[in-house]
Amino acid sequence: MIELLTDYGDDILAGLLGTLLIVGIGFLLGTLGGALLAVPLVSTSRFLRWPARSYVELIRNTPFLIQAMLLFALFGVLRLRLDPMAIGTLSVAIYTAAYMAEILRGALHSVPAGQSDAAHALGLGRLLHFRLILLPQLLPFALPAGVNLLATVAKESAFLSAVSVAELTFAGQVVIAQTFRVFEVWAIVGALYLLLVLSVLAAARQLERRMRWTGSA
Amino acid sequence: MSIAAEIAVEVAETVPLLLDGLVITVAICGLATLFALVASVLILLARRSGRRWLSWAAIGYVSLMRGLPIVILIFLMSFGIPALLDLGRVSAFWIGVLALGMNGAAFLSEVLRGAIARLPAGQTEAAWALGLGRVRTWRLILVPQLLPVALPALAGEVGFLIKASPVLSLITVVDLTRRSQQVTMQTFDPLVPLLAAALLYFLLIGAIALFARWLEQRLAKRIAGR
Repeated sequence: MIELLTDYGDDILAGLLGTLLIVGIGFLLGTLGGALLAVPLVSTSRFLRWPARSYVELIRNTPFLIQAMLLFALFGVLRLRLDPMAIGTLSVAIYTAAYMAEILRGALHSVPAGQSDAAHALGLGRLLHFRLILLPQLLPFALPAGVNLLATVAKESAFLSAVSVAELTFAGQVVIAQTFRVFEVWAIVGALYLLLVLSVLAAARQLERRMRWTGSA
Repeated sequence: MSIAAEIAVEVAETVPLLLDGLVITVAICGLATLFALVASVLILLARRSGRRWLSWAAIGYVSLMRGLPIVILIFLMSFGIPALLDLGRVSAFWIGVLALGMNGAAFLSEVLRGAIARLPAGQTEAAWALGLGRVRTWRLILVPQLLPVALPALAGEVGFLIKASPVLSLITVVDLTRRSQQVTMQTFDPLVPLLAAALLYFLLIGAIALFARWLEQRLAKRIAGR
């Protein structure tokens, strides 16, 4: 175990860094996309709502591995050359956006519609209305749910090893191919994921608790 | 004919080739759900047993399942542990059932625990005051109230497991995902078999999600109507 860590520790850490990068950047991009998607999702116009709803349902009702494989195949068929890390990050973003949009839609629906009329009557502009009225009420719900989603995404990202993206699980496979230390490597890789995911989940719980105490004020 | 229509026709022609894989995916997820149902009750019993080491073991197990990617769990179970214990070859099919079931059990036990926590404590006290024993209190008073939560959760669990099930393709089970890869190897078409698989997953998971929602509303209505 010790010499495994001294000889191949760097490779595993490089894989962990890959996972952190893919999940971190992909999740941020996906959150942005989710926020943009949430707007048509709560729209009263059917023509705006329908495409956004279709996207969300397509992503939420298919496995992440299939989505990632499709994206890789699509880049191949179109003869677009892009780094596997970048395609992996993109697939994380596509996945995150759908779930994040749904979280934000739920949060937006919990705010009574009359408030927007009231804010308008008070002479608040769009930006002030969002910052002062909507955001403080969205966050107590959306923030813990969003952090929970981050934990899910971090776990799903392990599937990217199947399409040869240089992340933590793939690094584990490479080290096993060189050392044949099957159990030890998966135990180490598993411990790293556990540490990552459980600390994200703990942060979500902490946020949930804090938001509850301060209420929506 | 436009490219989109051409691809649609090809996808429709590929779907029948994938049905073998679909059957394996559904069989493993169905068996795993049964396993998860039994195991989740055992986890709950351990957690409520009042023995500290048992409830700690249950909490540790649930945390482990929440924190470990299903990919790593299945690699550990099909390659890691057999290598450690020198078991030789293990059945990928049953490892798949076990891994998905173990994962599902942890999530199901959390759903059930939440539902039990929402039951008013006064009901148990009232049942005891009426002279109902522990078993009859559960059977007559508590379980009927848990079902409206538990049944939709169980249906949702199947969908959840199907969404995780492409992990089976990583341990050589010829499930829907791997079957589509096999077709790709025969036809050299990387896109169409995957699209066909995605369509089947979508229909399956979508139908289960609709069923779970319908069940939830129906059971909620029945409770409210009483």
